[in-house]
Amino acid sequence: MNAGTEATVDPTTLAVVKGRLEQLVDEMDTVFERMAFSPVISDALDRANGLYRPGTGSMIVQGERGLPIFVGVMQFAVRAVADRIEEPRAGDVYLLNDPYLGGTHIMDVKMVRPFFYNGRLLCYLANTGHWPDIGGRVPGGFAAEASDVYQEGLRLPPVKIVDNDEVCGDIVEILKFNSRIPEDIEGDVDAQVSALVAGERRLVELIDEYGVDVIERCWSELEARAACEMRSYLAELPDGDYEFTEEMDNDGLVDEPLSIRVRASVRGDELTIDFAGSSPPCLGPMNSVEAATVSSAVVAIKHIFPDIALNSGMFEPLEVRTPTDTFLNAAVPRPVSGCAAETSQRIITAVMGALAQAAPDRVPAGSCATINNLSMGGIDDSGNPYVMYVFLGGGYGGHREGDGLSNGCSLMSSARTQSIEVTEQRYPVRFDRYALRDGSAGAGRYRGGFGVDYEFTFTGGTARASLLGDQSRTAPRGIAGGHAGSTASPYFVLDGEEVVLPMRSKGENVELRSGDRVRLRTPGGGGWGEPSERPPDDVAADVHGGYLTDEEADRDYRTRR
Amino acid sequence: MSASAGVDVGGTFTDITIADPETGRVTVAKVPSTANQADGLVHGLHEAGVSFEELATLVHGTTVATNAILERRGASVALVTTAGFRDVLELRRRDRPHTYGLTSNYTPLTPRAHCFEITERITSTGAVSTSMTETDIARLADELAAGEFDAVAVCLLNAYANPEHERLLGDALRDRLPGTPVSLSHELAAEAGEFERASTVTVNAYVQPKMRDYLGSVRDQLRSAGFGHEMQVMQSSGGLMPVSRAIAEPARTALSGPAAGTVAAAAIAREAGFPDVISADMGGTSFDVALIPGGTPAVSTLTQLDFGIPLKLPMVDIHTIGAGGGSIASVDRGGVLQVGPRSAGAIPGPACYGKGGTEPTVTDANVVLGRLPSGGALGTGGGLSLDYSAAEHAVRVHVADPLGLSTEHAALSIVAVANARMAGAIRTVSVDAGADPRKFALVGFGGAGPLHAVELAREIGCAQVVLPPRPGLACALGCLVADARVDFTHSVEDVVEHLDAATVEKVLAGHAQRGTEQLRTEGLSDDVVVTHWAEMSYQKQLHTVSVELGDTASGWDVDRLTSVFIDAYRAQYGGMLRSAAARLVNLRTTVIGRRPVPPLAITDESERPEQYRRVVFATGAVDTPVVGRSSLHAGETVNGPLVVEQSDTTILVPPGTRVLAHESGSLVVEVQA
Repeated sequence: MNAGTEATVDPTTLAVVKGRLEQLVDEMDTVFERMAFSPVISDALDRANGLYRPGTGSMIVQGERGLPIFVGVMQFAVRAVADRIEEPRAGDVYLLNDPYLGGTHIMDVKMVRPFFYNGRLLCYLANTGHWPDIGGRVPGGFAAEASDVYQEGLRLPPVKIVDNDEVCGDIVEILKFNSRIPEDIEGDVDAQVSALVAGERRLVELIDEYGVDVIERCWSELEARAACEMRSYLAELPDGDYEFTEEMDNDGLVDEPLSIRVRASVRGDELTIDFAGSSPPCLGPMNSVEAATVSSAVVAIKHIFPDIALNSGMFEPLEVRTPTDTFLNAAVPRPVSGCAAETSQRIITAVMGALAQAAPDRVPAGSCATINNLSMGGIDDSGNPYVMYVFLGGGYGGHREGDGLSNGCSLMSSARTQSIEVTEQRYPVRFDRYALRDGSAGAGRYRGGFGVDYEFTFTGGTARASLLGDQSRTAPRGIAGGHAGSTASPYFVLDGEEVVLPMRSKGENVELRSGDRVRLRTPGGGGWGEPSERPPDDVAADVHGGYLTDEEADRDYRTRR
Repeated sequence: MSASAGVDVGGTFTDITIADPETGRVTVAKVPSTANQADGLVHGLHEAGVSFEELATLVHGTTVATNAILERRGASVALVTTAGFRDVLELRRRDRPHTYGLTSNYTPLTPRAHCFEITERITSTGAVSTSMTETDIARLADELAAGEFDAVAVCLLNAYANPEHERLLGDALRDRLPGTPVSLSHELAAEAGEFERASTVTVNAYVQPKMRDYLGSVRDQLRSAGFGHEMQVMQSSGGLMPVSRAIAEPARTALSGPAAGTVAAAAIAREAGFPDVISADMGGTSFDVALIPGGTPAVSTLTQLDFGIPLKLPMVDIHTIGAGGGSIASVDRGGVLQVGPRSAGAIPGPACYGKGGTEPTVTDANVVLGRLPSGGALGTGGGLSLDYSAAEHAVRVHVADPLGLSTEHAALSIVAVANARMAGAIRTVSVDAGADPRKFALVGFGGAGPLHAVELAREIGCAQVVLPPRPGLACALGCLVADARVDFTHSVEDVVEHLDAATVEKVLAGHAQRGTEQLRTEGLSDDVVVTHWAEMSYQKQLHTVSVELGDTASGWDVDRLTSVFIDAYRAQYGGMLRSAAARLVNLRTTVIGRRPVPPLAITDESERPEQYRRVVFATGAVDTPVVGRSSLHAGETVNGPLVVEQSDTTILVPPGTRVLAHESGSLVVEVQA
């Protein structure tokens, strides 16, 4: 084991330093979420923090509670900064949000801080947070009908936001002038910088305690160990080529399905994931960039083998091929706002679908993989500008150990919903329902979890709403005889009329008037195994518990109680 | 005449402490818990030689509520919500138990079919937009009656802003369902956040019938034994409440036992001269840590009892990780040593217990290192004998061989990694509160705490460690010394500029008055201490900072509130924000009825001749003296290495440290001697 590393670290130090590093990045996550102004960060926890190597930007450690999609993405962002700045200096912080350099959509703003010890650049501290509005043609940035990236918001290459521990006021002003909610920008910048500073302080303490040599050797050793772990799991999968195709509804502009084709090739303890044959780059905002596609593939694998340590070592036995003639590796100026929450989730389900053939006992049936991103902005009836931002969960697939979770969060995220009561305090809306969506769970030996049924009424002021979702055409699949879950089904009620958007799951700038309603119904998970094999007691418990009607039990399970 | 008793009933043992201020004596007893815990409790008091007629106070710490929740063995509960929202528990906050892995599930405390709706609506400002009808209420009451539920919980949307509908419905249901307890969300937690409030009120209803029967049975048995006063129950906040309030609001006892432990740690450390301490309670499966600045355990207002079961009540902020004597050590696929969170529990237990456990645990590592006596008995219960060769075999096969280490080196690694995880928990708790753990002394208790506390203190940089006289009985001792306590919360949810000092004063003074009156009716108002708190944030933030306002209700105008908030915020987070509006989320008040502190010096009488044992430390093996606790006399100082054994624990004093037998009965270890 670990024959490749030069000098070894004693096992105690290695285990202790590993724990200390994890705690350090967890603390950064905590500082960021506690101080942030935007609920997307403070409540939905749409953020990540970590440490990265100079040069390659490869991940040393990243917070376990950070958003999974950023697992791979941050390496690209850090490398972009490292490549572009002439002279990294202690006390500086760089900011960037360019999807093609830094990895996801424009709303994910990254900050990178060089870390020096004894005058030597040792690593970068970096983080990312989803800012609720940084310009663009719709409030919240999810412009379902954008045809290029310039319409999605202010695009920033690496720029210095903190110079020698002083925040650059002029840059903050540019950001504020380009946002519909400038006050949030100021608070979020402060929170994001403070998280980097907190991490830096802990890292100095840690290195003071153990010495720089030991810490650097631990980093190398932990990477080698993670690679070993990954290889040991991959070795358990039978060699072979496993293929799977996911279909997305459309790109928001042209109503034609987009295919994500995956070919997962297992050879010994190595895995190649190839997206060749996927749809070409699209006109609307469902394109993904290389960093997000690679990251999503890795997240799928980590969902299947959750114990693998979070550092760049886990990438070592993997190869992810993202051909540039597909919409999964689009180039400037393709619009990409749908990549981080929609396309990335379907990449995850596609990779899981392929690997389910190699490891049916480890992989759940298909899950809800759309967040039905609803952003709504305007002036409330007290005259204050607002951007309300809602995204939803759905049912997970049934799996070998049990039924799927109801209302699970996005597969590429760990973001929670804001409470109904706080949402009503802050925005001009009144909720009519927030419930499990009846009949949405796919039947099976282990059934899927339920999607949700979410409906609110706009109560006054002005509002333009945009929706960026998917999965209204293809439902989460069943496995091994299990039934599929249900598809997404969003609609508006405008002036008393039910309105389904032309692209069903996508549309922008729908003008609402007081009394108009929005209703979003999200997918339930697929079932695992034949429904007829579900024990009659479990079916009866679902009926008595109010999860299944008598009719559904008869139809799907052919069981009479 | 004025003797008081503290009783902590756990799953395995019932611990009893009795203080007689006239003789200055504290006696203790440890008896096995019984299936009906009330029997064991009363039996134990008899065993301890209590004269019930002469007992003035009896305080009870209980795990009945906790276990009912964790083991899902509570009552059949009906939850009533606003129409459209009955799935509030099922939906949670749209999360999953673990960031990675999609195969875990969630079972709410009450199934969907037991969740009912009523047509009504209150807006976020507290205005009634849809009234309830008598017909709907009557129909609901009929449905609930037909369901024969043990208890009813009500959580209506925005009830924190206006509780009128909950009150109306509560009155009607109590009227029509006599004998069925009805819990209302605003009575427990009048704060925004429908899921957390619904969860809190459901927990209350879920444990209520069980707690009512149990506490009622204890009360009856005590009464017939001759006890003439009302029993007090330990709340999760670290304060006492009378049994009548515990029956009405049993959710307040969810962390009763562990909270008592922190109260004991605070009192014992204060006696030994250390007001700022961190309590470190290490038992068989878990490690509980709490920050105690200025002698009072820090309290949190939201605690996760389990995945998807938050409780929005004041509870001592106890951070728990799966690290205890029974934590299992293993080597992962990457070759990295892991200790916990998996535990061997009581059965099969560590390998050295000889009860079928084969995987190495922290206790096994301690046996291999000579820190625990092999062949000797552990603890008072059952006199378990520890098998060295089983411990050695487990550590060698599962850790030493895979890592290529000697067995002793592997055992040292296991202890070091366990200590590092516990140190991490201590850092988390301190950092969350913006405190520097190096400025605190560490109080080590629980069966395994004193064995690890000094090395743990060294790891985080604490200068002193306080080891209580009876570390294994800390929770029962906490019951003996805790004060009575009432908590109030008033939801404000507005920017500070919209407020004035008179509004704030009205709320705070009202809290103080209600609390004092309540303590008076409970006979605990001799020495009342009022503390006000403002939970504040910048307007757009969600997370709040607790700002202590002291005991004065008046004078909190916009400028003063803003300035105390900014000071508290800067102290906790730093940051560079220059201008942003401050928001007042909640006003809180804690009303404490102080009780006289009984003497705490409980001596362990067990005499033991001095022996020597080979003990392995990180610096090497040393022939180490092993003494009984009673052979260390007050005022005496001894240099490490030293092992101190007593019936409820083993204390390790490593080389390079020094232990002082403090006259309060505690041992104080100087970590850098």
